[in-house]
Amino acid sequence: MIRTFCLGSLRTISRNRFLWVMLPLLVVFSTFLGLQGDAMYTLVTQCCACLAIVFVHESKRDLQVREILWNTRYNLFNYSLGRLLAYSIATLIIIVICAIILLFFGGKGKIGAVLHHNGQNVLISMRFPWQLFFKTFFSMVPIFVLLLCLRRHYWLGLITSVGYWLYIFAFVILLSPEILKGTLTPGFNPLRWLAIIPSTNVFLFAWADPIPWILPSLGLAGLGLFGYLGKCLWFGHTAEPLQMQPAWIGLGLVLSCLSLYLGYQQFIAMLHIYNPSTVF
Amino acid sequence: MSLIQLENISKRYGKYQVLEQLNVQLEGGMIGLLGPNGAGKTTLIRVLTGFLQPSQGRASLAGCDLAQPEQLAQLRQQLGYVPQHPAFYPTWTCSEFVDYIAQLKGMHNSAERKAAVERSIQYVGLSDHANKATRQLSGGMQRRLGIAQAIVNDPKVLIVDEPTAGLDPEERLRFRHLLAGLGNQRLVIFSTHIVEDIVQTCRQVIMLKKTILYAGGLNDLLEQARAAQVTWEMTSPTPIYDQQLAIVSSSNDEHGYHYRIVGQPPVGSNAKPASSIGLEEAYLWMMQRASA
Repeated sequence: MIRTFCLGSLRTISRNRFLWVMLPLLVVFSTFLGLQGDAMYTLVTQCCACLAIVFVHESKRDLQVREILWNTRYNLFNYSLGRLLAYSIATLIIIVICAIILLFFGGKGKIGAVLHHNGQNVLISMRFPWQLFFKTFFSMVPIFVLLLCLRRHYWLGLITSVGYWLYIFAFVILLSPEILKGTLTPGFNPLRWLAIIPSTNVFLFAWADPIPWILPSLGLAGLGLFGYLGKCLWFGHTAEPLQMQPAWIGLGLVLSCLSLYLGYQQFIAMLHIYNPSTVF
Repeated sequence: MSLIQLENISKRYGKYQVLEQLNVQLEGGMIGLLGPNGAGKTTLIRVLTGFLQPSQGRASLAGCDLAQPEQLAQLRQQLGYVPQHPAFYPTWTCSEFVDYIAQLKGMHNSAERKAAVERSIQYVGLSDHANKATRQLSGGMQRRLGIAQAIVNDPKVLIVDEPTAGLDPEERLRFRHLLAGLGNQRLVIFSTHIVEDIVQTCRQVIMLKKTILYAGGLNDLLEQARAAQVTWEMTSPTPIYDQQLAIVSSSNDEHGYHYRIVGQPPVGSNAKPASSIGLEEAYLWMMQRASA
């Protein structure tokens, strides 16, 4: 069942006109900028963020088809996993396409940072930022889960996905130093909470070890997914079939919280190792 | 054995009562669900498919208690459903969509599934359009595709919600034949507000207007209406424009204007009881009784 939903979503994604128009446009745009520094981040993450908009459109269509879907063996858990799997695969495919483009056309570009390490400035730079690809993939998962939770609210989902797309395009680049400052400053700072969301800090540490991104991303995604399933099970007013034991939802929530907490600790530890003075 | 059984079914959306105390026991075959717009037909159908939970009461369809999740899941495996406004994925072809639904209905053998998809598409006359994107289909073709996906797993129960609304006469005729053919082999519940569709296809009817006005055989209903003498024929030298009169048909010749009226004829008119009665007149009579 998960496979059927996944293949169905992949079919919809592969035929989405918006994606087929936006991807070449972004590649051309990034190539025009010379694929250096932030342009590199933008190309990869922006291409993936297009999928968020496609996700919202597919959710709208699913809502229209739901009366037919519900009279099959459909259940919410299989549907959700199938959708998330399909969009993760699509993200991976887009990242591979971007990587190939960077490999062939990004000869002049490089990303990196100057780090303070043992009182010395150390320069890190790379021409093929595989860490960025890795982190971009994981940063998309919580976004897809958020959009899954908003699947019944088309306009809210659309505003969220387009907002995320614009955010990547403009605001992250502008806000990067502030987010970093918020993460490192002791005491209460709302930017610290923004920094823990993997999608907002991919830009800051494109060159850094990707491992500290995995647990927070999966924790957030799990919390969103199991929280949503729990809401549908306990507070849902429709007869949407879920076919999942409450105990599994509870276990999922506990593991997600644990993953998020451990991920947060890991992320803070990573910040103490990498203390960039400039990012280029 | 009753294939449809409703016990005190009520459905309320906030303060708005849509269905009130429905009690029905009907056998199989082709059952027409007839009622005016807003009578609660779609709500009742959604309750019967398990898409909506009733606010009160118990419903069972084909021997499955809809309040029991296991039995509802079992029913869904033998249920075909065509919603009032069937929607599809616009970039998919007709055969891709039917194949997708067949997979979701548990048809895992690809050879059997492919044959079933072809068979159902052929049955509804869409073979020439099987590889066409669903967004390119006309309204009538989309309804037929809705039927194709519903019958792909050869369900025991088929529920069709207002399939003929908005179709041209030729397409409506095609639909009636299609549904009549399907009704020979399974329980078909067919909702409409067009009386003629019921006359042509169904032997049993449920008349609904928030509550059930009548549930049973068509012939019994006509017999009751005939016995109650509800239809009158009258002739007038001048045209009648009285909004209070339920005029079901009119004609004129050199003798004057001839009318068939349901309900009480005007006082002092030359009205006499009609010798025959149709379902439309019986339906109007039921609606008048409900409004009284």
